[in-house]
Amino acid sequence: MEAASSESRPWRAPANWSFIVVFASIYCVLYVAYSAIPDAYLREVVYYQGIVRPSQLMIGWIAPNEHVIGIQNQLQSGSAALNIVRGCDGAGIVFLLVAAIIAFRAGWRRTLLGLAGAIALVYILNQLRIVALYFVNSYRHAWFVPMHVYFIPTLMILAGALYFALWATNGPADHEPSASA
Amino acid sequence: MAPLITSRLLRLSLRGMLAWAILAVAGFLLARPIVTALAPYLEGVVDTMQSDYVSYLTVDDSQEGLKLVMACRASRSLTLPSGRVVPFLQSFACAKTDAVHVLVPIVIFLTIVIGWPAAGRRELARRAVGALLLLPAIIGFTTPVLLVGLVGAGLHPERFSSDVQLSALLHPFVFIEMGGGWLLPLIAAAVCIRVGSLKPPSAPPSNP
Repeated sequence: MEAASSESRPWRAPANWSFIVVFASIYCVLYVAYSAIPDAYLREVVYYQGIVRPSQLMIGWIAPNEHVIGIQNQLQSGSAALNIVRGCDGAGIVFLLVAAIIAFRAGWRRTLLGLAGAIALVYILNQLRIVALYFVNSYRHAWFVPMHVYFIPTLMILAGALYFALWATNGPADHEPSASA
Repeated sequence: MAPLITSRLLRLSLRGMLAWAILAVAGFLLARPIVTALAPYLEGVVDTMQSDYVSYLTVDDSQEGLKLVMACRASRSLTLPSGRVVPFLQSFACAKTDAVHVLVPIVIFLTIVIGWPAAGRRELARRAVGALLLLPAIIGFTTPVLLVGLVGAGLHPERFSSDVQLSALLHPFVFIEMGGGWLLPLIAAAVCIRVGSLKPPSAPPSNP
């Protein structure tokens, strides 16, 4: 995006060519690193401790009568079972945000804050997503597929994009987008 | 944060939410005609990507919702993991996905392209042209990759084990399913916005 005056174009739109290339490259590096993590480790350690247990506590707090239990990567109750598999962990959106924030080339302090905020935001949104999907799966099963594969992913991408816009516009101008292609 | 930026950020958020809501609901309600209209293009891309079978796509209702169902007509004898052999020219049900899943990259792309502020009508027009040019690429690089990958996974499930390298056709499938299907429309949207914001070169001043 052009380095126009901040009045006429306040959005230092992160769309200059170098941003796009660095963004895609960092995403691919993160994806390759993620692919190298064994499924069993994700299932038995990361998903259980990081997603299933907190979700179990949240569901138990919201609806104690659900009697939901967590086994490895699965939330189970009398009314539903929900598997957490690779890709259900919000990693895709975290990678997009991390790649975008690094590619934006702000100062290191702002970058670190941006990364921490991005990871926290996606983690919270993903936990809410898992809990919501558990209840949808239990009580409105017909809504599960559209919510799971369509509405929630696109909404989370939008939330990530808005977070990035908020972060990118809220800080000192330590990133100067290139003036031309 | 400066009030000007806060107000513009609020406008951007509202605009983005509105664009997403309209596109997502429209896509959901019109999933059948949209995906049916896309089917011939998707078939063409699938058939270009591989030579083992010819694809035929339909949009079918099922208990789990609207599905994009792919039937494959074998272009050569194919052996299924069960040991069953699919003879040359015989058709078999080979892959299916949720119809709304096809629309995800489209909704992401259009939400960003429409939701991002433009400087004026000229920029909007350039952005619209860019969107029309890039949309087929986004569609062609996402759903066909998914369908071909699903067939590959069905024909060669052993290639998903951790000690075997993923084949050339399964790599893109996994990439697209693990978030690449979001990355591509975001990059395309960024390119579209960037191209839309380029000013046409002004004529050089004539020398006296």
